[in-house]
Amino acid sequence: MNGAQRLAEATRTLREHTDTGWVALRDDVVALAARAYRPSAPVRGRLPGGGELWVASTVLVSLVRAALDGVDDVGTLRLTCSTTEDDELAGVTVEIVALYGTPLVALADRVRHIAADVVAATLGLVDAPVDRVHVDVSVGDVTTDPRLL
Amino acid sequence: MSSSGRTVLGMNEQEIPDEVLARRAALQDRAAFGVLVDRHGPSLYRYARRMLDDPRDTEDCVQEAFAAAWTSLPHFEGRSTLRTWLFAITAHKVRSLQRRRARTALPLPFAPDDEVDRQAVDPERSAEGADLLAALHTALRELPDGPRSTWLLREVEGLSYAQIAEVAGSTEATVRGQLHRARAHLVRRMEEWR
Repeated sequence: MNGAQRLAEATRTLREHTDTGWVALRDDVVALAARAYRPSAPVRGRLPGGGELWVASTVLVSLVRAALDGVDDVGTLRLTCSTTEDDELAGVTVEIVALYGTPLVALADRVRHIAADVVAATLGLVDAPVDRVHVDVSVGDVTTDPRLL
Repeated sequence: MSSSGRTVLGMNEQEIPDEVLARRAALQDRAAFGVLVDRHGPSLYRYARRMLDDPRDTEDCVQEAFAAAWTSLPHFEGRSTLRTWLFAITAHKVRSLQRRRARTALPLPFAPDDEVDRQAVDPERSAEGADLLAALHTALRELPDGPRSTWLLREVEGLSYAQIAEVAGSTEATVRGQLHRARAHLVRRMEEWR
């Protein structure tokens, strides 16, 4: 083999190589990254006994996204919470992608109710969740590929 | 991971595109992030390991890179591929660690061959393969940081010239020049091997 051939062979070997250091590190990487701070606004909620609680908006986003994962034929593109100056929830906006052929009005209504129910339960707004939590649903895309949901 | 319904782990993970996993991870889906870590972690580690001279620095670099990625994913807009974006974060961490180390200590010996799993190599070719890899590591260490990074990103990780320029914050012309110099050096050193 000449130099170019040796380099090609060594490069191929390196390309297929996984360092043992990575194998040992992988779990730590995931654990550390998941603990990394994401900026998050506090959202004021109500305790059943009359007190207050604050929930990070990232927690709210996580819970709503997890609930929407249970809905067939839809994926969540974006999910944002807005708050008032005194940290009351002003609204939730859910942008979704739907599988082509899905009835969009019914789907959007279902998404809106699921999101409202999760938000209401999380913040203690159990009496009139949909009225007190404004949820906008925007169908941002449709796709024929379920992997893209 | 989601508590019910469709989940990342309920699908063939390899079929889910990066942009979908990134979108889910941006919405706090840790399982989706775990798939991204498994998919890109080995490459990012391999790159960082050969840019830095120390396994501990490599660990710090890759951990910091993924932590930064997790924090920044809600702002990832997809202007580049996720893979390029992750390499850009990692390369930035590599440069930071190199600068930090330059101010505080002398370089440590470069010995990534310690991490070569000889059992994973075809037994008939393991000895020669490991030797070739060791020779390549030695030759790579002789390269300046820029050409070394460019060569690794192009020849090992398969990034395009434009993607490498984005990762390095340089131009495609610079990338072409660095790649040419790196290849010439590596071919010459491999020619001299044995």
